[in-house]
Amino acid sequence: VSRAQVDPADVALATRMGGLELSFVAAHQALLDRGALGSVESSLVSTFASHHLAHASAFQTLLRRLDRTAPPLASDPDLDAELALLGAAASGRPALLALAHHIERIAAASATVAVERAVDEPTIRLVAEVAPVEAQHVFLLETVLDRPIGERLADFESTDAHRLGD
Amino acid sequence: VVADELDPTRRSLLRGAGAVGAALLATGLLGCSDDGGGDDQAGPTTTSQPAEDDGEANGPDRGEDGGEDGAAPLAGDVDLAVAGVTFENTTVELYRGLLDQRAAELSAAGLVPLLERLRDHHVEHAASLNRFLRQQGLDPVPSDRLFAGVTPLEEDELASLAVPDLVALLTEREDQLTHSYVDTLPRLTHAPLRLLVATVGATEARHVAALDLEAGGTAAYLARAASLPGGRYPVEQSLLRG
Repeated sequence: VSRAQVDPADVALATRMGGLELSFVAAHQALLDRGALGSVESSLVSTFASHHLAHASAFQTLLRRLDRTAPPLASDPDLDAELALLGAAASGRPALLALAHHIERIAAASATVAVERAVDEPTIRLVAEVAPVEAQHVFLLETVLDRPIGERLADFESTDAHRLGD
Repeated sequence: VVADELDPTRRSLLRGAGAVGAALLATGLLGCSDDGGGDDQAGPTTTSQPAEDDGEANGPDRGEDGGEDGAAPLAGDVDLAVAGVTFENTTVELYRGLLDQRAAELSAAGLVPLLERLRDHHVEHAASLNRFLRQQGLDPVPSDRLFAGVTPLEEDELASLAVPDLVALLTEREDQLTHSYVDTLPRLTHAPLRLLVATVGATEARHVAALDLEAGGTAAYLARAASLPGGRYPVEQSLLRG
């Protein structure tokens, strides 16, 4: 990517998305550390965390291509605080799974909205590749939580939980 | 001018509005279908001319977002939307064929409610993409116009496959659709259309996961998840690359 052609909106979007991904990793790890999930549920959440870590790495790589002067990605402090608060209040397996679902809804919605907001091809491509994976995370957790099929399989992916701001 | 010929600066100028919440934009594009669930029988869509913005590209909710930031779709966007309708039509036909010809076995396997739901999603996806085309002043793609790159199953194949093989076939098709939409998105210059296609593609990815669970439970999903390069959806099976 030529620096002269980089749209600042893409730099901001990659920074935001990468920070959110790091927050998801930390929140899932904290959830796993509670030791209250079953083995299958732990495998799922661990897999989701590994995906988010890989996504954060991809956003970091993209960011370096867009702006060599950009600082390393950092997790989103507001989301970190929100998820820590929810984690502290969550007691027992169902509540922890509901928290994991909350995390993944934010992830899926944010990635889907990022597809619309991204400007140039490399940024659009990355968020386009991430979004379906996050949607599958939501579906798996809704299945584990025994949510009704109408919720698990709506006509279109919802974007109402995104954290990309106005 | 087609999408792939745009330089990044031009693409920047063409990006869609960010001032209005994405959910609102999505509502404008994804509102209740009025086209009979993709059953339009109008003539073929003309895509040889760049699409004109009729000022209604985002539906009634476009509102204050329809100003200079609401760039008109280009011919490449329209062509990809047309291709998307044909992907969906082809998939609807596959589900309809299976549900018609293998109803008893699919019912015995408890699969009918799921497969009917997935079929209905594809009908709705085709309808939404057709709505986009109509908003550009173009004819919708009729439901019998299928994607030329996919060979329909012969009736004897449809009749002879075991139910697990049918589920595998549907999983493969849904995965192919997801690849295709991921592949489509960077080629689209019209941001609201990208949002529509992203919400459709993410739903197809849910279909893949649902069918994985039917076929092999959580282990089947985990095997797929472990195979995703970088935890990202690939595009190798994209119908655009056939």
